[in-house]
Amino acid sequence: MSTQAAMTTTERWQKIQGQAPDVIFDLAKRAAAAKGPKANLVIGAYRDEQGRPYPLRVVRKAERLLLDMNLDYEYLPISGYQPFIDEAVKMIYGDTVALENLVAVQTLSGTGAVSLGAKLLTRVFDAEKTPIYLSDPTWPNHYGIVKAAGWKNICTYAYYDPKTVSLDFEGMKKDILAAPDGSVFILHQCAHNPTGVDPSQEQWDEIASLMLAKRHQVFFDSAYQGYASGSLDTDAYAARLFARRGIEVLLAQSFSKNMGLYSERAGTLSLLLKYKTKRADVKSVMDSLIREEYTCPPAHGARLAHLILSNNELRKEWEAELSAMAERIRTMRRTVYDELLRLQTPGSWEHVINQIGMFSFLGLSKAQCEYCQNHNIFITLSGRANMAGLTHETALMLAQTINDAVRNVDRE
Amino acid sequence: MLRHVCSSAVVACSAGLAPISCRRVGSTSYFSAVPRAPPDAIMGIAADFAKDMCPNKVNLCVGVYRDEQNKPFVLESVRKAMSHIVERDTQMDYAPIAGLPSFVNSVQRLCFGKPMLDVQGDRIASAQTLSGTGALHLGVQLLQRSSGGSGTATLHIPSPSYPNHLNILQHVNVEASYYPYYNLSTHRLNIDAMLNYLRQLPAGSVILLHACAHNPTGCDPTPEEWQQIVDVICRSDLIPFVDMAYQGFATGDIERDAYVLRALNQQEVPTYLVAQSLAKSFGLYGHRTGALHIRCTTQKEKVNVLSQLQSTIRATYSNPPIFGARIADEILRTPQLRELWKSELNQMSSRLQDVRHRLVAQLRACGSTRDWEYLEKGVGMMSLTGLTEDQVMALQQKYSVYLTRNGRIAFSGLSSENVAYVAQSIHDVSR
Repeated sequence: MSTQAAMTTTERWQKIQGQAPDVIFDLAKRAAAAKGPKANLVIGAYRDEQGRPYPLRVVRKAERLLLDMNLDYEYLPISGYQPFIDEAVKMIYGDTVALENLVAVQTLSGTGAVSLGAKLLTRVFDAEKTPIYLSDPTWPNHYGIVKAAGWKNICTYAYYDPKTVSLDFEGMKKDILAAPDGSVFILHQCAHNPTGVDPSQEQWDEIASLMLAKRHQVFFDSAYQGYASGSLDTDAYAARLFARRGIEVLLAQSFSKNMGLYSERAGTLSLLLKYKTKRADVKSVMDSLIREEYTCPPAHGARLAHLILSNNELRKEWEAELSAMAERIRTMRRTVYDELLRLQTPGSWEHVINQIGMFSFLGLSKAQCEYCQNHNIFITLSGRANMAGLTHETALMLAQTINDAVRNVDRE
Repeated sequence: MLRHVCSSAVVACSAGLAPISCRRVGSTSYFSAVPRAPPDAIMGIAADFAKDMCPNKVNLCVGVYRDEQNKPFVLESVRKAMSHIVERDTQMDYAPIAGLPSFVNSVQRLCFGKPMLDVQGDRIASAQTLSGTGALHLGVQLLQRSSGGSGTATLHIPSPSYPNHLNILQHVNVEASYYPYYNLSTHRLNIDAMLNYLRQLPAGSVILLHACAHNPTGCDPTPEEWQQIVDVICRSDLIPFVDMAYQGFATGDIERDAYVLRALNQQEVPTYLVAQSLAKSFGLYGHRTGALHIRCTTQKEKVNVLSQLQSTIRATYSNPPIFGARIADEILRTPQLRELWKSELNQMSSRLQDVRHRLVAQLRACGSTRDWEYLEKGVGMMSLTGLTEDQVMALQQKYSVYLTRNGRIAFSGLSSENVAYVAQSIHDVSR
């Protein structure tokens, strides 16, 4: 038994240092406080054509149905609400895989799934030495999550090409090949955050071949299924392809965006096992990790999601609503693009309409992004914009400000 | 950031690279070597109970409230609050990392009381958590971090304590040390041994205290004993970490159940932590609603501590689930709902006290001459019966009465329909 060094109570918290503020949350606060016409394009949350938060109609309906069902509020099992888990993994894989090879648990949305998956992998790989690769760039929280889970050797693979504002496929392949055999790769299944740049189907096929050849562990982050293109099946292409190719996919799934369940924290972590005999063993490890941290997951979001996924009428309504959301985002992208052309803005802007999903990497320099922020267009300094937060008016405003920024501020 | 330079040679790669063969000769699954994790003991008993075909079977292991018909009980105040929330058509946008601000304010006030908050509210760092387990986990991580990170922190926990306390500590590399608490022979608090142990601890040691309704014993200090404990905390410069999972549920009296916090405040203990759960007192079990509070010495300290909490939460689940927090906040802020909730707390607490009384009365009626007073005088959902492991096994095998292996009984599983049967069974195996 080690003896803790004596420390008086008044000294206990003195050595605690303040953590750096989360830059995105801070920018969101600044955007919320700004006066006058503005475009808040910071946080990845969907807004309607008036710029208001948009609880899906089908979610409202499901919530009232749940209320009428008079459900109890008992603890879920450690691994979560099994009917929800079953529907959720079916949504990802369709009939691509045998369900008995899948082990899955409910998680606290996508972040909880990535966190749990990263911890699970420390039981299988040497987290001190094994490299875990994140795309360059990636969602910043990926760094915090894998570090907190115990990974020490955090690397990046080439992904986004700033010169072409598109995928650096050659660089990506080169890095996958250069990585030591048996590395871990976190891949965005679709609607890459923050760039909006996705591989094509042919490119996914090549990536799958490289992963197999190098025996890398594939870890998909799937936060936008259905939301990227409007079609659940189209957006699940990569995961299904990898599964058909026999890759043991670990997949983190979120219902925050595609069902608008942001604060209900509904998600799953699933693992496609080569040997179904290992299912119970892996599940027991997942359960023990969950129990230590929060005992069992919250019920409400999972029940809502299950009801929508499993009820034929609600499911149709949801998919229609999802498609409409994706269409509105595409319309906003088109509006920005058309206005940039109309203003004869210098440079090439096809990437605004070619990128997929909620986010765009606009291709602006840091100084140009600062210019936008100072003119009430709130995007990150990396040039990430939440296109789902645009209205027709703010789309025009965004285009105008981009035009002014590239004309008045030096690129680098 | 700089890209990591891999030690292996860079493989040359050109445009139009031919697909590499995907045959995995000799490959194996990375997950083949994963061993089975140990099963959870209580969940295992629940599985045995589910398979038991005896019509008289009784489950006294489950740590959740049941009504007199042994059914799950959703509080009426909760149902009404939920209706209010659904009718208001509220949005589902992300909560802040530290939780729904109005919920955090409400549970702070429930926890500390308005008088304390008026004076010291600006130095309490509070975050919404995933119920009580999430609060304990977050608090222990904070302690680990504040101990310098390199050394191993220690948390002193009562003997016995809630088994998940140990799981949580092991998970974040904090050592557990047991202090004397419950005397298994006399079935009472071993206050002298406890105080002697606490007195010899080095300054700054962190001690876990159950605020009320001690799990698993149901044995709580009296107000006089709490005063003695708090005196030692002050004199020895210790840091209390209070696990408060049953406020209002234990005795029906919210203030009485938070007595230790009032005592810590009165004695001006400079820093302590509170892990608060709303699972039992609001019946929000599956909605995972709780909070962690840290009483700091200055406002600046509070800001730093809160930023540490937020950093940890962000890297684990980003932000907490909001539905349960909304329900609790609605109840605490709406006078009619709050009064209804208090009456329901009384209802739950009274029922548990009543079944304790009835079990002891039935044991006497069966002819048992053993002193069962501690079962009647215990507080909350649980008590340790004092039955041996063999007796517990006999209860399960002969009578289909299920207790956990340590002889813990969850009184919520008792009702007027089964109390006589359970009493007879206990008497039969213990005489």
